[in-house]
Amino acid sequence: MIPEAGRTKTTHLFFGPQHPGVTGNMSVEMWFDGDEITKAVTHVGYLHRGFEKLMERRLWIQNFPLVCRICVPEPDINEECYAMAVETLAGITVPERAKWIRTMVLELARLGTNLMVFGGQGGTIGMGTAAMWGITLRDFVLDLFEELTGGRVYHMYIIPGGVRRDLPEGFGRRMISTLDSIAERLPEMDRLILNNAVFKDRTIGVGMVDPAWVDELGLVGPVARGSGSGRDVRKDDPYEAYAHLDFQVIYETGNDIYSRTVMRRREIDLSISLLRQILENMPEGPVSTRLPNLTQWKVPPGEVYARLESSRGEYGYYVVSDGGTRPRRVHVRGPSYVHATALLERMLVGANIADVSNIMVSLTTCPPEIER
Amino acid sequence: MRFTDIFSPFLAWTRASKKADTIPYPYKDNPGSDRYRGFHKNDIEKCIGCGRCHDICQNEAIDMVKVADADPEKGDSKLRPMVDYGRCCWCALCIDVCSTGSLSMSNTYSWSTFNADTCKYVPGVDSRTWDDSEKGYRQDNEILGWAGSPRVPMTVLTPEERIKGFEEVVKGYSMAEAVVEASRCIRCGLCVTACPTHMHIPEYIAAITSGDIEEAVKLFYDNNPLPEMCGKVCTRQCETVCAMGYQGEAIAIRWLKRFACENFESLSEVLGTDLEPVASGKGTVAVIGAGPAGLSASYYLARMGCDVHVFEADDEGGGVAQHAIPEYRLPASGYAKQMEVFEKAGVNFHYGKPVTPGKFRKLMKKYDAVFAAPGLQRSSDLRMEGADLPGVLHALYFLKDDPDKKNHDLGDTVLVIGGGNVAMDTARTSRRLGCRVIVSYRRRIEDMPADDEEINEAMEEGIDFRPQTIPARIEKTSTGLRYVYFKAVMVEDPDGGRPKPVKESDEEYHLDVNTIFLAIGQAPSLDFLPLEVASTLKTRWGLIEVDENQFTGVENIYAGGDVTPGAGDVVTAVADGVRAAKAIFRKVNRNG
Amino acid sequence: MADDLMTMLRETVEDYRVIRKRHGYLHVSVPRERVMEVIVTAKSRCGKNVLQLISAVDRIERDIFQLTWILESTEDASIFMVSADYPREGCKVPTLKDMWPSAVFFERELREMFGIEFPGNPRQDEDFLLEGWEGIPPMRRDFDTLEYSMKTYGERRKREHVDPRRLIAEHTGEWDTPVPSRKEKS
Repeated sequence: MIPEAGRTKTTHLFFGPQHPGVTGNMSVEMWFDGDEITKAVTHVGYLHRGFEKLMERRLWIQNFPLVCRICVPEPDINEECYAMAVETLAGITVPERAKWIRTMVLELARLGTNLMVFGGQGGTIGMGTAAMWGITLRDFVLDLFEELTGGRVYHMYIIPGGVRRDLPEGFGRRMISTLDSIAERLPEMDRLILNNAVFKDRTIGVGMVDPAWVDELGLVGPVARGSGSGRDVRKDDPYEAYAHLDFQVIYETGNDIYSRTVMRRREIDLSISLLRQILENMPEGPVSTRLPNLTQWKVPPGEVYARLESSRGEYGYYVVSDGGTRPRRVHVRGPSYVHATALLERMLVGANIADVSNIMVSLTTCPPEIER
Repeated sequence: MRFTDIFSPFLAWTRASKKADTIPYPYKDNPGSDRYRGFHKNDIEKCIGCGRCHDICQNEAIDMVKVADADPEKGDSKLRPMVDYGRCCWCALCIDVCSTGSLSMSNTYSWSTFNADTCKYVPGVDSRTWDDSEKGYRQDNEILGWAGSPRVPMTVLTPEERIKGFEEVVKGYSMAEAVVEASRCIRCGLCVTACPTHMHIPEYIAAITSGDIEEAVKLFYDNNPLPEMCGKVCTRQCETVCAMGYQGEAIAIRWLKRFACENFESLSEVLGTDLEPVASGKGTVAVIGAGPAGLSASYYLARMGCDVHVFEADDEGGGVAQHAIPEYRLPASGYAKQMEVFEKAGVNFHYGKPVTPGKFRKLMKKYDAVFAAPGLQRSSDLRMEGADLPGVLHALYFLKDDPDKKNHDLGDTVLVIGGGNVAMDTARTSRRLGCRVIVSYRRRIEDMPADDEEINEAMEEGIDFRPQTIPARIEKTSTGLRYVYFKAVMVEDPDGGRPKPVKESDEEYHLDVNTIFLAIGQAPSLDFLPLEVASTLKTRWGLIEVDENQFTGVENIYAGGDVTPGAGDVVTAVADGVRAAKAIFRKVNRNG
Repeated sequence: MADDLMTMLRETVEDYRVIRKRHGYLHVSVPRERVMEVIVTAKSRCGKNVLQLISAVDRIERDIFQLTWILESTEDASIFMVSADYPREGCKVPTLKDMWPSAVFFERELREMFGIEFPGNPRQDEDFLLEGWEGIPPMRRDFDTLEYSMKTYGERRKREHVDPRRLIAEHTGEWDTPVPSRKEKS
């Protein structure tokens, strides 16, 4: 693959780990022939904090403030996944209202993340304005989180057995008004990003994901759905309140960055619609089940794989208990594990050097999911 | 690509005419939301220093530290949490598990300082600007229940079943129930501060949680040789300070102790080699009275190798606790089981041997030390017209002397004067004998010295309470007795004491009954002491005064139990015995 | 699809053990000699065409590594999990790189974190998360994170913590029992 020395000049370059175009901290080692990449190898490990090992040393309940730190933009999926796994192992039933609140939190998180990535996709090709607008809209969502959970970034809200607090008085009203103002501004972002000659030029036909790769590599989420796949855990294996919600799985068939961006844009609309449905149909009742004494809580022995749909695709926790007060093993399987390694290494071959960060953002590679 | 795609991005400029979303800090503040998880606050008066926040903190950000060098007191370790903001992750687990709910968070999230060490402080003690903050994360135990939970319900007989006979009211926990109840313990140890004999409560509860009941029993015997009796009738001061009791129900410490003992047919088998003397102590000790105090002292002295002789006036040991408390609270079945332990430990019992002044002189000569624990022998008299009429009985003697209560014909209606445990026991026993029972007490129901539990159960059993009644006299009628009384009002004591009952008016009320029980208190009888001893002892209200080692001040004489001032319950007597054993052992072995 | 799997299992391996089963979710444990056969058949016959995860659990008390492969079907999104036990010492597990290219990365991670070898994986000796790691693989149960942290970063600034339980025990003298206690608790 690497051209023989002397025939053409090959450049060897490290992209990241400190680079604004890289999502998170990871590096891609690349060999170029001119502007064209001939080989790419991803290097991860800059964000390895040993979460899985640490979890084995902590009480079951002490892990829920820890797991959310695996993903900064969308921490709630980790809390939810961990909670679902522990609930299955311990045989805990979650109250109906808690399920709806959890679904609401997950959709809010998805909305916030997709807004950021949608804007960020513009940012990678030099449209700083789009990136800032995305962040601004996400901040409105964070305001809602702050009110609901007491934290803006790490919410630590979904616990095994339910959620930590009920909705504050008037929360639904404020959420609707935030959703309205986001929906009102989205056409502006569309004009800036999707209906932009430069953006189209840089994304249509670029960063192609062959639909055959979906099965071969196990691609999930917007990456798979941007290539015509219909994989969506919300529909395939409905968890929490998703079975009661009316929605269709969104997919695009362009296989390129543009169709993945359109995918995300439509996901934003879907999240807003789901949030409105959730608020209308949310039942009354308790929001949490009582847990045993937290410092002595022993979860019965067993193994379980719990999964859900994050903004980046299927997200899973493989949790093993040996009947003790601490987990025996927690294995986090994030979608980026494959997207940022096997897929990225394959996609980058033949790509232009200027498109690397464009491609990476379109896959929303998230190194903490690989390294944990 | 469409032609408009070239121009549409320029429409972004329209934003320039609109209001900015950015908050112009510092000109405009952006306070945290109502639930914001900001810097900690602690209500220092409410905090009991249980260390729950420390235990739950996954970042080890909370240290429990001594504040103003205060020592632990009953129900408060006097330690307070210090938060290290270099480690805190603001998860607020500490808030949600805080047993008293004293810990909370303000909505302040920004703070600048030149001294990094001030980022480690004791909330509530070291003052901070957010101490008065109204907003911020607060505990909501209604939702989570992490700070206190209900106890495992105890199976008890229904009031209808109870009054049919003398069957034990409380059924006890099963193994599974006990383990669940024990697992609620947070092992803070505050209960130990309240227990007169400082039992290893968190450790034995932990042993029960892990299913090692034998270990629990062995731990009981470290400082309480009457665990089954305490497991049934203890006044459980430990439960009043239990950290879990603030927002939930206290751990059922007493029932767990009861469960562990009832789990075994024989306690001496569980203790096994633990009953052999651990030291070759010298000295001989005479113990007067085989009640809880005497038994407790004799057990530990025997274990340390002393030659211990117990002199008891009755035919059996166990004292007034074992013999006056009715079957439905403390069945006789546990008696032999516990006494076997004392015999196996090498205590010599001499029953039916009342101590007289002459005998006491002999004991003083023959033994290296004497521990006097005779208890309270006399029931107090009510100085009132008609108190000596036939049909007016002393409750204590009624309970103690006649276990079957068959020899008494109480008639249809019984009146009990008094509000202590003896009054309750007598009332409930009479109820079980088929009588209609009335309890007359001078103060209010909440002032009654009896256990709340006993009062509630008595009410459930249909006993008629007449609080705030002052006895006037008892008259004889053709059918029985007439109890004449005044109604009382409570008057605040100007000196700050508890409110006193005062006659409402001179109007007299009466009740026609068949039997009247006097249960207004017990008094000691120091007749057994020779004059030369009695005259040198310090006494107060007829009770023998002792120091913290149960030493009376008279050479080689120690005293404990109800004959010394104190709470007058089983566990206090046991604690007296434990202290006396320690002091006597030191004494006789140093001199010997 | 799950029923189909059960038929397949009955035909392929006799002694499998079901760990968890519900609609669209099956987790079985099979002998390690047959595990590759089960995976290959599950992919070819039962439509479990996606490799979702390869994970390992260090069952140090039984001296084994429990390897778990999680497969998924893109058809109906059902999950099929296969576990097999391998001896801890010199643990060698067949690679799945030819069936699923993504297996290369899962196996690299297990090689690094548990020291499990996957002969045939061309990149198994490349550093994945840990650069230049020496000593025992960190995800093994006998690797002590606290000890490593103290050795590498030094002890943390002295804590001032006073344990309430210990303070109360000292203050009340509860362990100063008349007869020395068999058990001294901290």
